[in-house]
Amino acid sequence: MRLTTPTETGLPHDLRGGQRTWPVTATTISGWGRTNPVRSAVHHPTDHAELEAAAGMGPTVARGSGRSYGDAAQNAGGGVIDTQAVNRIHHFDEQTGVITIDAGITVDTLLHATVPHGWFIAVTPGTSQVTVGGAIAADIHGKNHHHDGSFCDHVTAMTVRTGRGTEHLTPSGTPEEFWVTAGGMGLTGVILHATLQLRPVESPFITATTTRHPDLESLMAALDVADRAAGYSVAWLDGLATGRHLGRGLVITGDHSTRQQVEDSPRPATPGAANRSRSMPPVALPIVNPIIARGFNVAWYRLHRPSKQIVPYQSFFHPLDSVSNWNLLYGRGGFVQWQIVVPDEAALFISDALTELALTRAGSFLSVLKRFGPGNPSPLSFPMQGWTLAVDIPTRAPGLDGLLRSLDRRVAAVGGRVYLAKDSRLDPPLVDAMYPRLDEWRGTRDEMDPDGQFRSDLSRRLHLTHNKLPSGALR
Amino acid sequence: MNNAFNIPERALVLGANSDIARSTTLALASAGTTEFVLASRRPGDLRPLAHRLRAAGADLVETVEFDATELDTHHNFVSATWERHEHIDLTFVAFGELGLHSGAVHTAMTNYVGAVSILEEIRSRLQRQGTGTVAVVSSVAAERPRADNYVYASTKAGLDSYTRGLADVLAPTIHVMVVRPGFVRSKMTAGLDPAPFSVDPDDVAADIVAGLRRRSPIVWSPPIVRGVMSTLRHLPGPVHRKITQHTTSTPKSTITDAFR
Repeated sequence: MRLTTPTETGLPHDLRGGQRTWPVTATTISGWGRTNPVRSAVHHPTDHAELEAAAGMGPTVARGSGRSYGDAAQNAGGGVIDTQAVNRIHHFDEQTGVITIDAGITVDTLLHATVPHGWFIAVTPGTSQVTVGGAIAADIHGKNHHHDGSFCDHVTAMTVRTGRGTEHLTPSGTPEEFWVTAGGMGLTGVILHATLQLRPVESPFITATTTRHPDLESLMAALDVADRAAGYSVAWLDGLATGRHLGRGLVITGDHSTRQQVEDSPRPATPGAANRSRSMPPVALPIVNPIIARGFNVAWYRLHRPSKQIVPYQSFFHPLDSVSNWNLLYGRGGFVQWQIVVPDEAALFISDALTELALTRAGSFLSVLKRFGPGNPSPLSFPMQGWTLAVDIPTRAPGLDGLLRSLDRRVAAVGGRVYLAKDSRLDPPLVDAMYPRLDEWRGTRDEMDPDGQFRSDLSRRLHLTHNKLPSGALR
Repeated sequence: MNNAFNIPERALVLGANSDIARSTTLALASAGTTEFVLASRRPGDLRPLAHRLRAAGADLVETVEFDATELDTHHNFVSATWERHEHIDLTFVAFGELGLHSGAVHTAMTNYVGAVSILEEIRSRLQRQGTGTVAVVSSVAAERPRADNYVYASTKAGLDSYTRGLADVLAPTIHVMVVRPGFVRSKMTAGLDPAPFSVDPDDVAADIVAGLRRRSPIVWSPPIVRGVMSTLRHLPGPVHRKITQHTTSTPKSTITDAFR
């Protein structure tokens, strides 16, 4: 047992409510984009009881794998609860595909346990390293949003340590609390466990097709068609191409391979092959410069031939996981991922945005375009019917701040929004315009957290909560 | 909170009546800063700046009294400021005097002792809030004193050294930036003949905001004075004396108090 006193952390986030039995360290942390590092008292609870107790020591926010790009899972001068050590599978019904797990488990660990039994997670993001708690808090989406909605549409229950105590939430029993927590960026409390409905699969493979399209118009048209034809679809585009090549890219679609398809496959794929992860030297070298990014984009586009093949699920869903710390490629200043969605009728905005972003000549590896289906009842959930675009850009790109601010205003004006899990720089007044149900969310959130026990740098920067903090918190 | 480009949401400006502070706060307001705590010996004189900041989109502008030389008020000043505002994203130290007529000790008290006193109070707040930025106006004079500014130069050399040390204490979370302007055509230098490479307060402000965005440890304004000072610093004394006699002039008698 190790007791940690506030003097050890040097932070004011003290021992309210008695002594801790778990390690706490004053650590400098940042989001995946590595912008804006801050110092927080990071709690490392080792079991459920400790996790629950830590959640009562506000002001805190839960942090899973730290894959939010911005400041959603950091809390300068306050507490951050690292949930990763509490990551057990509690119950898995192999007949119905219903699984109850700790929120600290990653999608990767979950899939390793369920895929051999013929069950796949209903929604997976572009990295398998996110935790289930983070997936709920950001209500993440995947390549199948147009058919299956987002992550929380498949959560049947969750247990959350809110400001009122430990609460069991379900979409039918406690719809308000459930949907305010879903997509609620961790601000209603610490998610302890969740029950998910998995989807049956016959194999660990995906039958994937790649098609190439020379401009944005044909790319968007192809995505439109692909959405009807396939369960999974996404477009990777060359964010640096301009003029008649603007928006050229690849449309990648897929469906879970049937047992028959795998057996008939001429080249049987090996399921473990895509699983190896390489890591970069742990230094932030600004390797992504405009010339290299341009070369990479051109090569990516040219080298991908139209194809149809059977691939392991990892290489279809989580290609970036093959380099474990690719975020270091953007150098010391870090990078921002600007992800927006605009309604179908504002699809032309995508072309305007790509044009302006390409003009900055800012190095972006790959840009992603996808069509969303309708959103869900969560007031802060990002997905809505329309087109979503995600672009990674190093913060040192000249003029980037001003350009994104002006693009944000236009996104808000056409009824679109910025994804909070990716954000690190939005102008606060725009949040209310982009998320028109923000006040409704605030109302229920404040009821669930009457003493202001939960906050993050994101919630403070964007004024998501009413800044109702315990007044002694930062003295 | 600071955003990804290190633009603060809330800034505390000490010596807000200086021309560099005025230009910098306006530049910050247009970059997205919405809350300002403006501190000065004469807060009443801050009204026009407060008005302009509000017009530029600031949600909150406070004007408060602060005197760098009143050391025993510093603790309460910082407590009260952090009491009203849970955190301060940027602390900008812009006060200072050329000290042509106020006396060497007063200049040393203001520029060095006063700055160290207030920054030491602020340091512990920043460590506890776990985030933030500090920008301190030093001077190219910190690099090498001249006959006509040696007291001022010595105070800035001390402040410059203190600030770089503070940067090491607070790294990597808190960004501390030294600003070394060359000759700035401002109230402080009114009546002096401009030295080569002189700039306006707006130029310095633009360089400061760019430095924040890059998290630069040292900002030279204009950037070319870095090379100039590097050369001057290595000149033998007699040569340096000869050159500086030709490029700078003696102050005119109308200056009584360069710092406002």
